[in-house]
Amino acid sequence: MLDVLIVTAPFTYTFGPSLAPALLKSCAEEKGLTAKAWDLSAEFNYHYQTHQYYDKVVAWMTDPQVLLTALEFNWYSEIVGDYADRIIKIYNPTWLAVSVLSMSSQRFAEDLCYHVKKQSNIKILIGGSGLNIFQYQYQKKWYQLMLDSGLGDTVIIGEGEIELPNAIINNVNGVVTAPQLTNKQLDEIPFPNYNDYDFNFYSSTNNRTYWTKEKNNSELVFLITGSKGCVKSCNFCDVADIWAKYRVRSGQRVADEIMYLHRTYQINLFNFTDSLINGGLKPFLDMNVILADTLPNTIKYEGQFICRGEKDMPEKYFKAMALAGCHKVQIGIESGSESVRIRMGKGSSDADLDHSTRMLCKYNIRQDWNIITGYPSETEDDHQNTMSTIKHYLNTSNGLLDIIPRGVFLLIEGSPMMSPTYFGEFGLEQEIVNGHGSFIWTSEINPTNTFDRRVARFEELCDFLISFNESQYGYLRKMLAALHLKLNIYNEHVKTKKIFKLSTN
Amino acid sequence: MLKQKKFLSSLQIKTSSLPDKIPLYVIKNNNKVCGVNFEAKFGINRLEIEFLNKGVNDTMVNESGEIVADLTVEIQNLIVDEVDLTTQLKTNGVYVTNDGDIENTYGFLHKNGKFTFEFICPPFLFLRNLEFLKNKQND
Repeated sequence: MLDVLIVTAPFTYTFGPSLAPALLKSCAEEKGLTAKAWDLSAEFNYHYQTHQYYDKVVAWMTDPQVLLTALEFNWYSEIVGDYADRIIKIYNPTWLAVSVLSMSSQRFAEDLCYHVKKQSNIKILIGGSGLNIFQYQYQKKWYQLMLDSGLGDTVIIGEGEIELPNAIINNVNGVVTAPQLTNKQLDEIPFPNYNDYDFNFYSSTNNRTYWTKEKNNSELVFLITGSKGCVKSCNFCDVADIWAKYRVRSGQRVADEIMYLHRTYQINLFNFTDSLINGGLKPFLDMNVILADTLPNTIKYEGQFICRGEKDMPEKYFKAMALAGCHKVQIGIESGSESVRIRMGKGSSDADLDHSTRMLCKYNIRQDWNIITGYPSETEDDHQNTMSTIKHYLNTSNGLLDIIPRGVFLLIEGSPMMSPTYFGEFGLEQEIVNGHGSFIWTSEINPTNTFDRRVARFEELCDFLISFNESQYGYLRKMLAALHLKLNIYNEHVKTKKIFKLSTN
Repeated sequence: MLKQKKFLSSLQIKTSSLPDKIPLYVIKNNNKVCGVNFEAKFGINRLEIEFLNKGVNDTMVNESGEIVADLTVEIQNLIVDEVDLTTQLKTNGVYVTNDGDIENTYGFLHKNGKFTFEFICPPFLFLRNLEFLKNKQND
């Protein structure tokens, strides 16, 4: 009998083979358990992405405001039911471990657990970074709702590498709060085992992968974790809620894993899951030097990156990155205004930004800039700074720079911004609409920064990018359309409030 | 034998009696007779409240035709696992009288007949999925 089946819950983008089930399989097997890994989320994308209901169902999974028709919901329910049947009849594990990456995986996880529990006594363990989201309707966190509703037996808050096998071996029920792994423990974790995966799910044409523009469709992208947590403390980000401390694996160990996966699965493309690949400068340099020496001109990698100044990250770092195979970095610039970045806690100065951008261009490393509009302190001048910064670097980066507008500023559960300190500092007032409180908020220190202004700024950015390069940025129209749906909700909400105010006066 | 969570549930029922007669009704969940406090099972539940003893002369009216006394059963609320399903019960429950008529009286039983309400446990999933049933007319 199988001890544990580890699955991913849709919706997640098919980035490449999911790391969590493969890694947890290795960890479980190392402790003597029998384990299988199933990247169910990738299979869902692979099989259904061309179906007429797929886009709407995915939109419903990712955006709570979207409603399905009964036909769409029935289509989705049948799929979930079929997956549950396969789990029960084919795998029949003692434990089902469900990896919930974000809020977008919650609905599927709820329904999968429901179908499994309805028909079997399989114990369900839930983990992942999507557990902690507060459910306003029920005044509890999502994982607590799952436990209280009998949809899950065990929840692991934090890292599962050690605690998942422990929970199964000791038959633990309830909430397990996993202490953060130390640097030493991270180095002792086994390499992931992808032997259960069907690589066809990733190698075919798949419009849900981030790497399609640059990679051949037959190539796989494997995920690598070099560090967990972040050396920065951006107040809008919830990474510190998941990983309070920054921990990093040795450069040697990470390079060894890349070389092992390259040899075992003939993989040349890697993507780091790290919040920042250059958080720990020494291990980052060590890894690049080892890869450049041992596996020259062979692999390519991508990862998230922070702009550092010349003193912290001189030119030799960029040279080593290029020699090791660094193909692209994603940088959370967020704003072109230095003062906004400082208030965010990001700490990158204009000089740091300029140094990093020039060095990356010099070594022919592509860069994506994530941009958010409407940070609470952002003024119209700050926004125009963002626009002029983007225009300047787009025209001076030899086509190596892509701008990724991420959306308007959201209040994220678990981020420092949700703490009383920041609520007080910015005079934030949050409104809960349809049970969700992330997008409609105002700030006393910057009262003109309302949701409709944030949308207008985001629209200005997208319009510029679309006019700059229609074929590259045309996809932003979909994002704008989704944002306009939220804008309608906001306008209705404001109208209702005005009517209510009039009627009470 | 499936080991599933049971969901503590409670109904609140208000009755209206005549001087010499009280209404008789029976509550069943999943075809088992139960009281106002009952355990709902994991999955689909079928809750029934059947009004049994209304007679033809049990609605008393005055000379102006106003009802002065009546024999009725009114379902006031339903809480399942601390989640209030009253609105859903009143708007989605089906009341079929013994004459075979379906009456939309929002949980107010004034004739002999059966009020039936189907819901899913866990109730938060039921509330989430109910949205799709509302959309049915758009399909």
